[in-house]
Amino acid sequence: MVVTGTRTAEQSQRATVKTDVVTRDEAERRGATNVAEALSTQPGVQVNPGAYGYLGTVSPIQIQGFDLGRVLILEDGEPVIGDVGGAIDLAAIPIADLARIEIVTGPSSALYGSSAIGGVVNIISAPPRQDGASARARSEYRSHRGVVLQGSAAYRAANAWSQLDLSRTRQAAVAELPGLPDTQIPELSRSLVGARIGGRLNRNIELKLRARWLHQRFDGIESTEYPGLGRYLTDLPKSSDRIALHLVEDIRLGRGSSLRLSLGRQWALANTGNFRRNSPLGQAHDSSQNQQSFEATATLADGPRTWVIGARFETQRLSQQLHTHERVDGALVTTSAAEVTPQGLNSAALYSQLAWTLGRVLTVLPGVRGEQHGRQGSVVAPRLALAVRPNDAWTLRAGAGRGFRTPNAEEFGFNFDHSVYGYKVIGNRELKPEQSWGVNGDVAFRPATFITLRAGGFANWVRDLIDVDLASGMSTGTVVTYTYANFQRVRTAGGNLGLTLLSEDRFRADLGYDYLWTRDELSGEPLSGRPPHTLTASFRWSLPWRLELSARARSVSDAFVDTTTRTPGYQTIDGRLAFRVWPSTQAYAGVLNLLDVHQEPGRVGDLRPPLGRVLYVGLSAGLPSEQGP
Amino acid sequence: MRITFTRLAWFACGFVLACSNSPRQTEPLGADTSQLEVPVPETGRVYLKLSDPSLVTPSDPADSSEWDLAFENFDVYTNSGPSGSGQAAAFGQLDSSALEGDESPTVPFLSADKAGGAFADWYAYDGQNHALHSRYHVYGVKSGDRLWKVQILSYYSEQDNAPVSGLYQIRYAELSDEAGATHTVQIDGTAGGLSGSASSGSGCLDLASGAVRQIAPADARASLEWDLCFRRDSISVNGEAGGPRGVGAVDLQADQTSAEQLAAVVQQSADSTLARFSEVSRASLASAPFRGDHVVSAFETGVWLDAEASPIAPARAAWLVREASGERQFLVAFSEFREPTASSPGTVVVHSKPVKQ
Repeated sequence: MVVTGTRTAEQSQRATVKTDVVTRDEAERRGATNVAEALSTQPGVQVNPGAYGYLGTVSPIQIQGFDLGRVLILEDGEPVIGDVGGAIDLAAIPIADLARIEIVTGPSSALYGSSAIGGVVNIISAPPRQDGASARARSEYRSHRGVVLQGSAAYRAANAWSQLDLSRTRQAAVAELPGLPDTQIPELSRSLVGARIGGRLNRNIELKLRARWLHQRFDGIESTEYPGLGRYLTDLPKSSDRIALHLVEDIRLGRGSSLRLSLGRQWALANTGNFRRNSPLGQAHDSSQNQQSFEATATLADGPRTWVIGARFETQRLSQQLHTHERVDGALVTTSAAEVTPQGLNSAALYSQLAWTLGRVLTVLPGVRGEQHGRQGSVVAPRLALAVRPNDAWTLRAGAGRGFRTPNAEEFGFNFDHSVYGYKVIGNRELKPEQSWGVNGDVAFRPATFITLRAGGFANWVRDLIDVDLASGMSTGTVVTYTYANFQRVRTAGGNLGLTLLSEDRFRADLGYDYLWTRDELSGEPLSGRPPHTLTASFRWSLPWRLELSARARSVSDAFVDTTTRTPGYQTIDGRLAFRVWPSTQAYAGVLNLLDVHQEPGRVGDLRPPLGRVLYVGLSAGLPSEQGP
Repeated sequence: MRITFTRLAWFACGFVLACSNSPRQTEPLGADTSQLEVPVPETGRVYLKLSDPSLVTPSDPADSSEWDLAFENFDVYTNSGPSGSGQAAAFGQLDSSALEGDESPTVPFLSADKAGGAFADWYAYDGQNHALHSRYHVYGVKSGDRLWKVQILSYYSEQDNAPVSGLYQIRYAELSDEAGATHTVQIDGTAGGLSGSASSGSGCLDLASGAVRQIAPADARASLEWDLCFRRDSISVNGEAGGPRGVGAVDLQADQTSAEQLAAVVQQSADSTLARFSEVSRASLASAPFRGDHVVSAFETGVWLDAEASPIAPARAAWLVREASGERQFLVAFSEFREPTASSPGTVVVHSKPVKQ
């Protein structure tokens, strides 16, 4: 079942809006420990952690050519906060409590509001499946002294359940160049502590509460040669914490109708430092962001028609401080200044969608969402989707809709003072929302149970894109000041082809090709870092002797970076062999990036993986057994 | 300094019969531009508005957005920075073919007018390591009747086991009939460090006494107690717009700056360039064009002039100019100087057109 495309539960094969799914089992087969790794070889998306080195070690997603705040990331339907330069770091979200990841491509602002221009990724957890006590654990060792420990313990009674989820991963630093202490990838550790409880108050009301704390820490080193002085080391510690509370009440209204009320609260805290080794001098940045939300969604079934009507109210607060430790007039002093002036953003949204099934063949899905923002004014985003299923073999879907992204607190209130390096970036309180129109279509043909063929296409037109306007910097003396502006217009278009071969549960093979075309309408050039061609192949084969072999290969073409630079194309191959020791217990070994392709230090816009080949070996166990002997 | 050399060359031409006086062959600039003739007086400024190309006479030019460009002698100013209170700015040179387009060309930034002087290009910037490397040029400084030579040795010094930028090391010596002693001094030009404000003091040096004082920029502009002030990566001279002391300075290797490669600059050191410093004598500065700090615009001293032309003529180039209100942008070019004199380009024929942003 999938829920993200229409906010109603549908069978994934028959969903009115195409929704790709990566289950927890599939994520583990891909050798993933977090959501970024689970999606890194997913057709139709790009997760290139190497492409965002200027933001630090982050792994955002790119869909239909859009990234950084233009793809909405949800956890159980609730937007994730704590972005870095617009990038939600998917590597910071472990798969310890994951049930599945749903990916909807194309503009979905009619249902989800801001940021859903390129698509929506919904990271979904689920209650324990087994009655009574249950547990699962995963222990893994990796190259680069990597350790993965994940586990959960759950108890399910007749009308209530609870689950505790834990995850801890760490990895040693990777040097940038031989002979220098600089780190290409910092030493990192990530932790998750999560608790979920749910219960049925009566036959019509169910409550679910999810609390999770995610922590990650990086320790990088940089060295710089100073004229006349020699080489100095700088420690670059960085840590972030995100705490999320989500309370959901589902009320059955009868006749298939329901009302869902949700309260959400998140805090995201981040600290980054830049400290000279063995010296009290340096700088530290700390940011604080929080979000509160209330959402009510009614699903009203009326024969062939299903209405979804909802309202959402949201407040966000963000501030960022810069602390400088330096010697002034002979004394060590610490000064603090706002790097992002405290910003409060409030919004209210109403949305409505009708799913009207005509003769079991055609489903028409019009929808619209209107948002009123305290700062950015109002936005209206309509969508119309159609799905035609003339028989069991064919599914044809098409949709057109609007996407938008409202400016974030950083774009409003940034005060990034790098005067010492000759520039400043400041926020702009006059920004307005980015807006897009997009069309999507796909066709799936399943002539027999063992084969499915798919083809699709999309096009997007976006205007008023917000970015730092490097063409209009203002020079005053030796400092150039840049600001954010709604100045960019871009188009993206593309298509995909897919083939799936299935042999009951023993064998599955997928082959996919994705084409992406992008154009910056101001410069006439492609968008930077968008590979036009991506080929993905994978297979899973249940072998005799309780063995399972899975492998994935991905070939990514070279891509435009700027008028003088292209990032090279590359190929990756991942493989994993698992041995079922007992039912629900596997011992496994695998390799990620067998060909050991990796970034070239200092090369601008290099999309290749920052980490080279990774070998891993591990054990995963579930108790009691979820499968028969 | 380029305008100075260009002026000198042209002044010289006025007395040398061999200089060609034939009119320069020019091709028409963009056909759809507005054309305005701007008579530049021998003394004083003339002001130009771009939105409705015309000459204007603002009642208070220092606090007016009525004008966008001003001409004074062979200098062109925008209504910004020390020249005016507007939000004008400019970028150039662009190829004159830019005038054919209707859209604003992509440029990295627009420059407001700023104070500058002989030390404007004292360092080469290493963008990869964000480091400033001294070019080790030798500067002549004239303070009253006394002459000095100055060389920047380092922009960094160690403090608390860390490199700190803005802690200059310089060496200088007086150029008298007898060789003066060479002094090496550290000057705190951190201006309050990373958290300093506009009123934080600059490290200001009086060459005669060797005294270094911390003086706020506003006070420095009225002070007679210094010759050179060091403020972060800027070095100012106490003359013209820099201050009242009448100090002038000249970069003795200015003609080498544009050809210097970062890799070569990095290889230099205080020791390896000592000979360059030692070679400079009083005689080396006999005809040097000393200047105090002055206003530099994107029509940087002389860049808008064709140094090869005789008689003097405007360069075949275009500039992107933002008007004083900050709203619209224009492409601007110059096609002709009519009846130039030693101190004025005469009547400047200005072409301009608004462009979409």
